[in-house]
Amino acid sequence: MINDTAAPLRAGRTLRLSQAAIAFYLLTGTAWLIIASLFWWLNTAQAFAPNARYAFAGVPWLTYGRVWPAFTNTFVFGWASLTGLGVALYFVSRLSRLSWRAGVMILTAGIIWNLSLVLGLWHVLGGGSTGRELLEINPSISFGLFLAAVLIITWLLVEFWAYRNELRSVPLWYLMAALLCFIWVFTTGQVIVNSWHTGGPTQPAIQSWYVNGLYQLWLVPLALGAAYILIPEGVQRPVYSLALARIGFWGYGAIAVWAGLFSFLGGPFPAWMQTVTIVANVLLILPVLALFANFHRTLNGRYGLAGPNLPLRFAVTGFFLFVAATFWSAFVSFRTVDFIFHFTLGMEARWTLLLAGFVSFTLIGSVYYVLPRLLDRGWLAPGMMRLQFWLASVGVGLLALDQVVGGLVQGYGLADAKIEFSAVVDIIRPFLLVRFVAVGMLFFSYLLFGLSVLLSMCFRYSERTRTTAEPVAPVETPAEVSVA
Amino acid sequence: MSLESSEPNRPYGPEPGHPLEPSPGMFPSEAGNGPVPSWFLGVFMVAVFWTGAYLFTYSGGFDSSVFDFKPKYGAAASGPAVPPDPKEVGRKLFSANCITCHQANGQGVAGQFPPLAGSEWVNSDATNRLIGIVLKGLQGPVQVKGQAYNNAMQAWEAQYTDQQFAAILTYIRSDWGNNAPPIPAEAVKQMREQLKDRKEQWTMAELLKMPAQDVAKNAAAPPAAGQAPAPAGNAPAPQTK
Amino acid sequence: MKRFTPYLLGVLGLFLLGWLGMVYYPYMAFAELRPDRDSTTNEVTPPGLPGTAVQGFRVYAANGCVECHSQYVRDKNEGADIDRKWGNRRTVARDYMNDGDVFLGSSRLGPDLTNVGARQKDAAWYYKLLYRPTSLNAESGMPAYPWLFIKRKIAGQPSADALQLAGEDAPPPGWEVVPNNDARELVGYLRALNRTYPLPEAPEPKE
Repeated sequence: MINDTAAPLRAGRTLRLSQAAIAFYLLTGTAWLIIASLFWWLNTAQAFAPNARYAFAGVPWLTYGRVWPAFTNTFVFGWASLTGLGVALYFVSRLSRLSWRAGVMILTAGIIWNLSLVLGLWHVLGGGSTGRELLEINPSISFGLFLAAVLIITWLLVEFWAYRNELRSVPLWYLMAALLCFIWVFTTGQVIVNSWHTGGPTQPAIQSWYVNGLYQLWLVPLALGAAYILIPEGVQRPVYSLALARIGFWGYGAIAVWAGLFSFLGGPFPAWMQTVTIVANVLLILPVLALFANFHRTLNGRYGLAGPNLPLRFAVTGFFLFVAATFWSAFVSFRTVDFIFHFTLGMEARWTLLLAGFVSFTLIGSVYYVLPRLLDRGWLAPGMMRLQFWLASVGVGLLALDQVVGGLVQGYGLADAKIEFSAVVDIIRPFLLVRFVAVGMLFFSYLLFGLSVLLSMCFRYSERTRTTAEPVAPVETPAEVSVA
Repeated sequence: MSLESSEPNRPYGPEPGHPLEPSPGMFPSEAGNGPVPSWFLGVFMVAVFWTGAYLFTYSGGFDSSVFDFKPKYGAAASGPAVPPDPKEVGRKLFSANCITCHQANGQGVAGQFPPLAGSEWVNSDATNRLIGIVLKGLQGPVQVKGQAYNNAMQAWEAQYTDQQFAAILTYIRSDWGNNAPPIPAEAVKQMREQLKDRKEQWTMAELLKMPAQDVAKNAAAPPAAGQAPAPAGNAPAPQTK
Repeated sequence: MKRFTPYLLGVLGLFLLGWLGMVYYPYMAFAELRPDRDSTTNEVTPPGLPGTAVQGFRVYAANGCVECHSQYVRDKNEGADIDRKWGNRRTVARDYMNDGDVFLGSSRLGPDLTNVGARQKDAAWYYKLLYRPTSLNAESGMPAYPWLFIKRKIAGQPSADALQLAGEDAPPPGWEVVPNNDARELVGYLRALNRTYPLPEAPEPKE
């Protein structure tokens, strides 16, 4: 039996509504990625040259403090969440052979989501930001986002519960958990912080938990789910171990939810909350080691396939960035290290590795995987796509390195009270310049990605375009099987 | 444990043979039987031990009013309440009320409010007069350090408790270079009792008529037979901490 | 894990545990915070904020000051904030209990503002900084906020709070630059940022 949502289009078949809705999520998500990275690039330019005319100095709606929330909100809610929802919808449907009946609702929710985000962006740039991280959009506008998210995810869970009440594969665990957590985290942030307008020390405590929850309980499980599809698919091998997969999944879920106070270590919160956060950040290494062992054994001997196969290449690179991000956040969460790195560029390195690295890489790989299957389109210009990959990889690597080294310099400067504050700002100027260059590379990489998507929309599938991104993996030789 | 699938090998993919699916179905529906590597168990044990030790040491007893992670802070915060230093309490009370006239540096205002720093009235052993002034107030001309001052000071007896008076007086006798012994609350109590019928403020002449008496020392060291009186003024201050 | 129900209960249960610990517990614990009343002086800490300060929250938030300026002082064991004279003690939960919005911040491209109102009381200094940061410090990395000011023709007497500008910033003769309402509210808020009062749970470190 073929389900409609995940079945590939073929000549003569009309596009199902749920398929069109998923495509809408992926395409608008890609557009938001380009917009977000443009804001990001502008923001890094402003940090480097605060009073330069090319950085729009003196323009109120493009001032540093408004461009930054514009970037984070469009990146997280526009690119990562929209694309993530689309990817999750497609994969859940395909893995569980469930055809989404709620095509109209998916499309409506996507439209409401996009409209709310446009309105919210306009409002934030116009000076209506609330100043609370990732809740900057005015509550009455972000209620649209909230409504869309709750509507669609609740309905999908109900459908899943009613029609396909089984979890037959590892990625499904992650995708369903991500959808569940997203509702809970989003509700917590939107209701407790935004609607009830809880003030006092409760506000930053819950809000930092919410931000961390969006990253570690929504986007990361989502990307892990996608990685559990792209990697075995790419190497044409089943996942190495179910036991390791279980340890990774439950370990991650049990620990990540406690890691909420990361950005306010040393802040005005009881010692036990901070200590628990530190312990959680360190313990996350365990499930990530389990994941790593599992993926490594799955890939062992066939890493070479990540060359020609772009979705696999993105997924593997993204996963290594995830391992790096986990070790980095465990390292900097220790109080003696946090002493140096807190409040510096080094804190951003985690964001870079996790969001611009792991989540974005895996989602880009997923789009490369899903779009041709969904819309019967193929990829063109393989050179451009490889350039896109290299720009993104070098960009993320350079950015993370710059932030770590810059953070070290800035941190040692700040920790020495004899050095004047303005001297510390002055000394990191070169690092701000490198950051500007690195984010510029990311911007062009995302631009190329958007161009690839646009091009693929213009050409129908053919054997040539199909193998451009995903050449068929060779049949495994007996020698390879014994290695695995 | 593998996921025992009753379905054939590629149950979840799209139609077989479609050019978009040259590979035999999707693999993620399957997961192998690979064992958990043995090193993982070791890492896990170390992590459990470390977690327990770290949480025990740095959590401040899971008390939400403890903010410093260092164990010694946690112990101090939950220990018995330390009585406040009377000089510190006195400084706060002084800055809340007395500072208007006598100034933060204790120098007063020329011609109106006499200084406390180096004042013979403040540092004197005639502590009954000093306590009397703050209890009942003072008006009319007064000589301090050879200078004449003329204004009025209100009676403060209703504003403060004996402990608070003691703290203020102990403080003004110890700051700005003053170095006189502290005034215990018992001395204030004694003077309050002694002067309870007096309604009007003092004048300098009336004060000087009152026989000089170190009520502070008497109260601090209850009359013990045969104890030699300590040399005035420079006796080591009994610490009331 | 083939059945959905035990899986669902497992995920929700683990999530609930963390949520109770990191969201619900602080929510309840911080709701019980009461101001500290000094038993000898009857001084109440933290003091409430003046009305102009509350208005200034909005301007602080709208222009994203929180992206570069933090508002918490760390303990001596966790940072050099006290050595940098950004505060005489660490800040604790109770310091923020009167604030409708709390901008802790996680970056210090600009200096900490926890006690900026205690360091700098002069409103004119803030106006000058906002109008052109480089006029106070040539190396400043802070952008200028000219839209918080109005340039207008002097009608009658010059305004009392007109900016004293020199050089290229100086308005033409007969004109003046005055802060607008947003700038007044923002500076009111900044000048009210003063958490130098004592709190028993955060003693000043003894060297």
